[in-house]
Amino acid sequence: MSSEIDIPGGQDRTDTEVPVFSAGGVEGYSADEASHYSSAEVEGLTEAPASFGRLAWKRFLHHKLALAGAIGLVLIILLFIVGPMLSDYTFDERNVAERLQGPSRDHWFGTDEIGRDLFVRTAQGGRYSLRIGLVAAVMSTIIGTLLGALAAYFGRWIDIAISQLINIVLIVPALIVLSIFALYFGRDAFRLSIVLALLLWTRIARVVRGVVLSIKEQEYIMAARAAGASHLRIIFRHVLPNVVGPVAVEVTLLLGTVIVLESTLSFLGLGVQPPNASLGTLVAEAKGNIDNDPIRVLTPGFFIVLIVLCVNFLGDGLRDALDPRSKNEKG
Amino acid sequence: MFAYVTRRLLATIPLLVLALYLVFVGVSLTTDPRADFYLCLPRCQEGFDRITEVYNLDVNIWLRPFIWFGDVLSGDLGDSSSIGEPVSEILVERGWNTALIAIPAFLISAIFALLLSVYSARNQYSKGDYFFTGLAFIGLAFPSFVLALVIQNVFGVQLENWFGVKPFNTGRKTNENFLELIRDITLPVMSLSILFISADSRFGRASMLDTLNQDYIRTARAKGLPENKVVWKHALRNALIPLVTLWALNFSALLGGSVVTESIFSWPGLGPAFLRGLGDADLDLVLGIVLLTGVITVVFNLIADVLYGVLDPRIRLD
Repeated sequence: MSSEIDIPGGQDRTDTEVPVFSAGGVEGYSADEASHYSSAEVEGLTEAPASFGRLAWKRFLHHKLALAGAIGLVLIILLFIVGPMLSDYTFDERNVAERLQGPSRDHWFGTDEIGRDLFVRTAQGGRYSLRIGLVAAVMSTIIGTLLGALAAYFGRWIDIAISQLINIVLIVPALIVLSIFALYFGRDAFRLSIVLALLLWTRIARVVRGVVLSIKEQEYIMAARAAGASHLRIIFRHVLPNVVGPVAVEVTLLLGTVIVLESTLSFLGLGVQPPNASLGTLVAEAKGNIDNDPIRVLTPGFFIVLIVLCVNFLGDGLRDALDPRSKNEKG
Repeated sequence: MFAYVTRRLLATIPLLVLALYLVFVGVSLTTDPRADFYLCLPRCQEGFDRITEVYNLDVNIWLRPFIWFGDVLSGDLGDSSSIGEPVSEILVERGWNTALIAIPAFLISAIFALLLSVYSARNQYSKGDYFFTGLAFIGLAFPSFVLALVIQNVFGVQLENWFGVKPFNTGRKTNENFLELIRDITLPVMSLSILFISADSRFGRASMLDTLNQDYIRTARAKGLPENKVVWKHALRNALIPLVTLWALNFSALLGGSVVTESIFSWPGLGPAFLRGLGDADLDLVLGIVLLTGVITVVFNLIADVLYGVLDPRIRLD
């Protein structure tokens, strides 16, 4: 199902649409679109065959929503980094005389109960959320890739042990793990990322395990063994490069999951703690006053939605770009 | 079939036990029910000893879970210290409340997701398909708490007369008056349904598209079957197979209580109870809820696998 649950707009699949004898299936597929793509196909035949990387890059650029997601993400990050520099206020500067103001020229997003500028706080909180998301996504990728590869490559009891570990992680409620860890280790950004990573590596481990299982039986692995390569060398040189594509997709989608999870936890009071702020705590802080000032809840909430939307578009584009079968397989 | 079910259950029970063990030890390590007593110690030795006795605190922490397991096997889930009732009663009452919003939310999201995926798959790349896919993307990007707050604010506060969020079952029994009940569950059900519809409809669209493009569907059309019969009878049965698994997982997640949505709408279900138990270090309550949700998850996973075999006779369960 991989490449199917996507937004229409990737051009790769359009040409395979034609043979469908459906009453509804070909509607909305205009004739000149078809001729456009088929002529592009013909031109492509006369050129030298492109490398996989170049093909993937081309496919990615053609995926309009993915491109929009990437650009949107860059713009948001720029806003979060540059915005506070342009503002006259700082993250925790209080000015009680100007408390609970609506958006104005001075305070773009208004102020909170003790007169802190909400634009700067949102930017700072957004950076905090993004940093936690990135660190957690990278760490869970490392854990998931290593454990998934080990399980599939060595098989037997290692596979069983790691599979059961995955089941345990999935069955123990995340909230309990988080509150226990929070009580033990405190709640700064880095530790929070570690805990989130410990909860979220399972999906990547499963994906990697699946890919490695199919690769380890291939002849070139046997050849490498015969040539005397060590297990570690085989895993890192010959096996893992194959999982880069699927994992890149998973990481992107994971980033969205982490940001949602972190903001939810912070909203519940189990995540980021004051004086630090993330987008989730900003929503929680504004929640009490939502009846009079719904905009204050909506701004950080809007940024969460926007970031996750961009990340998901990006992930979808990457999936289409990196999946070499997406050209022919699906209809 | 019977052997399969038994074997599956036997395989998952150790996992559930291990999870409960870890939760027990983890929570016990980080909390101490006697915390309030240390300061007054010589004077309140009696109370101190009583709590030690009740929670078996003189037993080694790694052995203590087994006492709890023994109690559970004899049917005693203990008493909740934060709510002050037996855990089993809380589970029944809260579980019922959760089911009151979980079942409608599940039915609504399943029906809508199915209709949307069939529509999107039949009209792939049409304006309607773009529209619903776009909506699904936006729905997927919403964290549950943002969505619930938005819905609560729009329908409960801005359009106050519609459902009225203000008197929202504050200590009121939830199932006295049917119309009131419908009014009370509408907003939480709406929040939960939107989240699940977004996820399911994208998945269902992919599954339906996959099926519609298969050869046997072309055959069905070629032999002149009406399109509706092709879609709803021939294609749907195959397209449903992956969806059924997803639905089973969704339903078990819903029945386990949604911490965020239920809390925001002050719904007295399992979710807020879990949060409260966690905050007050109410070990028995937390364990009870983990046990309940664990059993629900296991059972529904099993149901999903059995249904898988029913829908697709090629899959043999053995």
